[in-house]
Formats: sequence, structure tokens, C-alpha cells
Amino acid sequence: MKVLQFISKLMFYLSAFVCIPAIFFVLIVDVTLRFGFNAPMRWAQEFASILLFVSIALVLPESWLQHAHIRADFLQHIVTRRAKEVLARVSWLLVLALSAAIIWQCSKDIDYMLLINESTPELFVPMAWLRGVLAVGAAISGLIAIFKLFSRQSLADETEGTAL
Amino acid sequence: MTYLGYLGFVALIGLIAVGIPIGLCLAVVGFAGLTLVGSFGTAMTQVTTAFWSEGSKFVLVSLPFYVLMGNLIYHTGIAKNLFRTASHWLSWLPGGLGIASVFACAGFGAVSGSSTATARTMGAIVIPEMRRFGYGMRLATGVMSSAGTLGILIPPSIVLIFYGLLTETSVGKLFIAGILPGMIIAVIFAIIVFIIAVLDPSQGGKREVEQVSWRVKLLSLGQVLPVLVIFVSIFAGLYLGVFTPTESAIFGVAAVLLYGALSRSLSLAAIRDSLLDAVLVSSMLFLIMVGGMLFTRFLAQTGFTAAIQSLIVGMDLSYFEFILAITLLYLVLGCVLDLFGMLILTIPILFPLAMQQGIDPVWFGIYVVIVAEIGLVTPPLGVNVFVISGVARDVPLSQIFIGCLPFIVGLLVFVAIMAVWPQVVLYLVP
Repeated sequence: MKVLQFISKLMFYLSAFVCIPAIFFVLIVDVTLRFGFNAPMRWAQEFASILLFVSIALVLPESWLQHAHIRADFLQHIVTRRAKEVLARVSWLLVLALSAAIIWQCSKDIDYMLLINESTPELFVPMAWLRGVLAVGAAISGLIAIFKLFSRQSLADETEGTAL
Repeated sequence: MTYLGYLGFVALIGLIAVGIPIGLCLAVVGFAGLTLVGSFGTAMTQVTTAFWSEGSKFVLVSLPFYVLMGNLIYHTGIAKNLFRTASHWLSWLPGGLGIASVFACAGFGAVSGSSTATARTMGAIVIPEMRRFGYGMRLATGVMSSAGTLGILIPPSIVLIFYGLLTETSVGKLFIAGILPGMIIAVIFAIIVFIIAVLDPSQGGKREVEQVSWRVKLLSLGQVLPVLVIFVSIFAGLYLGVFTPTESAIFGVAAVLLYGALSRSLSLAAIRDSLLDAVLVSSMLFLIMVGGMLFTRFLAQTGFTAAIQSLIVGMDLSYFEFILAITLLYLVLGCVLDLFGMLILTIPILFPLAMQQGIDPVWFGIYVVIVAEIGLVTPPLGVNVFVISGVARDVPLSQIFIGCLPFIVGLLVFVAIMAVWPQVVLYLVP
């Protein structure tokens, strides 16, 4: 589990400290060039969109580990600890199911995308690469879910979420 | 086939109620539903397609940056300056610190897109001050919980971006439309604090706040100038069509970083924490969007959406009846669902109906956000109330909820005003 936590953290930092600052700098330069020198970078929007997708795919495992997803917790105070334990494991089971579906479909998509050589319109980034990043994010999430599902530690305290 | 839609809806509510993450519930029920309605292969294709099509929208790039901007602002200490300036100018009024806190929240909302961030940041500053000057904690906590909701109405607003993405309404127009209602609601809240302080002096402060000289008052305006500059530069760009909402978010972050560097109020640790939080919040919102997309596709394929829409159309509701019905619906939903859950479940059904009624999509967005934000201060979920409760631990939750009641009435009064005079919302929209 420690290895998975390390990989998850690494992907999280890559997302926060590489992808987001890269989007920031490219768009700042693009707007400056567009308004200052009438020389926009046509690929800037696509670059930002791709990096955002990558950033979100990379942060998925850590978002599960840190319980960053919104939950309705109005029944939590009347639910027994045993029930909370079961609910936490059901949550991880659903994470595993969703991750498995993503990995399975990504592998099929990648085959097809490689076959037709599909790429993004401006930067010609192979779409298979992007599906690959999503598959990696889902794979780490799925592995974490498996470890959590079979963990002997209590998961009852994991039923708390976040809110904006 | 419609029965599958009803079953899916019930399953979703059940899973959400027991505490499974909302985005995960939407994705899993949507996926299972699409498998039942169509085939396993179709459902599988939809999953990765939804991830790509939602995750690569350019306007979505603005989300992490507005969250980042709010996070950075939180670390700069601007919130304290806002409250200090507002209290210098307004503390002579009955309930003056409460009134000052409302306008400070409005100011903070102008550079932060989150309601709980506004309530948490301002609450931690304002409530100890109000306590020091003998304000009733029912008023103090009530006003802070309620004024926190201004954070999601006064742009930039994460919820308005979310609505814009769901309905393909211009986020720039939504932002511009949110300014006037946000300011009017702030004035309504201030009037409510004034009235409470006059009618019940025990709530309005037992000790007078020491008045400062005009020189200090004028100098204090300089401390809120950065907020004004950031807000004006973002929205002038949006209004004049110079920036897209995404670019304005980027420039907002640049402006806050510049201010932080000049005032030496932003440490590297603060920037690091802000970045980490921004990507986590974005992933959370993204999952809700992807899940919502899968779930609404499933509902549409079962005919559930069409059945509900024809049921409501069959009622032949007038414009005001329609607005009243939706307001009541959101008040009820606000008791069991959070803001994003409410929007993702209701907008795909209600938005086409609103369009049939001839309602402007921008107006509808502002209206929905206002009625949905009431759920932030109503029991049992009332997220803002819980945030403020964390700041004022000795105040019972029931007292905070009671303290919010007059402000809920104020919000409903404004909803009535905007229903009668839609121009209140649309006046600034180009």
C-alpha cells in the first residue's frame, strides 16, 4: 500500500505542480501575445485542455485517498460504526468497479485509436496517449480500492467528505 | 422503459443518502442504467467518452484557477483588511459590525468563488470581534453563515461555471449577471441586521465600537484597493469581451500572485497548499460532471426526463406558479442534497422547461443558484452552518439555524423581486 500511496502522491504533485502551472504560463503568454503583439498561439487552448484532462486523470487516486469527494452526511450521526464500515467498503467497491470499467474501455479505445492514428487537431498529440494517462489514473485508483477493500484496518472514519 | 428511470433515480437517492460520494453514485448508477437500457458495450464506450468530452472543455480550465485564486486570497490576509475597512465605515450603525461583516463577505466573494471558503475565512475573523463587542451569538453566527452564501453568487463563482457547463450558457454572461443580485442581497442582509439590532438591542452589541478619525477611514480604503483592482480587471475584461472566463481566471491568479509578492503576504507554502487544494476540488467537481453526464444520458434514454417534463407541462403552470414550484422543490432538496448534487439532478429536467416558459437562461442560472444556496443554511445539511459552528463551538447548531431564518426570508424576498422584475438580473448583461 505504501508504494501505491507514493505513486498516488507523485501523480498528485505532478498534477498540481507541473500541469496547472504549465497551463497558467501558456495562457498568460497566449493572451499577452494576442493583445500585445497580435500574434496568438493557436495551440494554446488545446494545450490547456489536454493538460487539464491529464491533471484530472493524475489526481484521481489521491482524491479517493483523501476523501475529497462530496458526500451527503446527514444520516452519518444515526448510523452505527459497523454500518459506516460496510458503507466505506461499498464505496471502495464502487471505485474499483468504475476504475475497472475505465481501464477495460481505455485498452479497447487505445487499440482503435492506434489503428486509425487518431490525434488532437492542433498539437497532433496521439489520443491513445491521453487514454493511457486516464487508464493509469484508473489503475492506481483500482489498486488502492482493492487494498482498502481487503484492509483489516477500520474504515468507518472514511465516510466523511468535503463541501464547497 | 420509464420504470428503469424511476428505479435508477430511487437507487441514486438511496446511495447518496447512505453517504456514498455523489459523483461516484452518479457514475455507477448511470453506467449500470446505460447497460440495462442499451448494452454493456455502449455503456463502456460512454464512460471514457464522457471523461474525455467533459475533461477537455476549455471553459473547464477556469475551475481550478478560480479555486486557486480563492485559496491564494485566503492566505494574503485581504479578508482581515476588508473587515477592518468595512467596520471603520459602518460600525457606528446599530448592528454595525454585523453590517460590516456582510459587506466584507461580499468583497471577499468578489475574489473567491466558494461559499464555505467565504464563511470559514470571514467567520474566523468576524465572530471573535462580534463576541468581543457583546453581539448576540445568534445574530453573529446567523449573519456569517448567510453572508457566506454571497461567495457563490458574486462572481467569480464555481457554481455558476458548473451551471454554465451543464446548460452551455455563457459563463461570462452568468458572471456579469451575478454582480447586481449579489450586491442587492448584501444590502438586504445589511437591512435585516439593522432591523434585528434595533428591535433586539441584546443581539446588536453591548459595547460601542470605538470610532476612528476620517484620516484612518480614508487610509483604510487603500487596504481594500487590491480587491477592487482584481475584481475590476477581471470583469472589465469579461464585460468588454477582452477575456474569456478562463483567461480572466488566469489573470485573476496572476493579479493575486502579484499582490502577494508586493505585499509579501504569500509564502511558498501557501502557494503549494493552494495548488494542491485546487486540483483536488477540481477532480471532485469533474467526477460529478462526468457522473452527471452518464446519469442524465441514462435518464433520457429511459424516457424518464421526457415523462417528468410532460407531467409538468401538463400541469399548465403559469410563469409565477412555475417559479414558486421550483423554489419549493429546491427548498426541499436543499434539506437532503448539497448544491452540486441538486444542480446535476434537476437542471437537465428543469432547464428545458424553463426555456419553454420563455425564461432567459442567464436569469434562470442566477435564480437557481440563489434558491439552491438557501440549502446551505437550512437544516439538516446546511454546510455553511457547520462551517460557522466550527468557528463558534459554544453556540448550539439550533441557535445558528434560528439565526439564519431572517436571512432566508431576505433571500426569498429577493427571489420574488427578481421573478417580478427580471431586469434586476439582466440589466448588466450585454
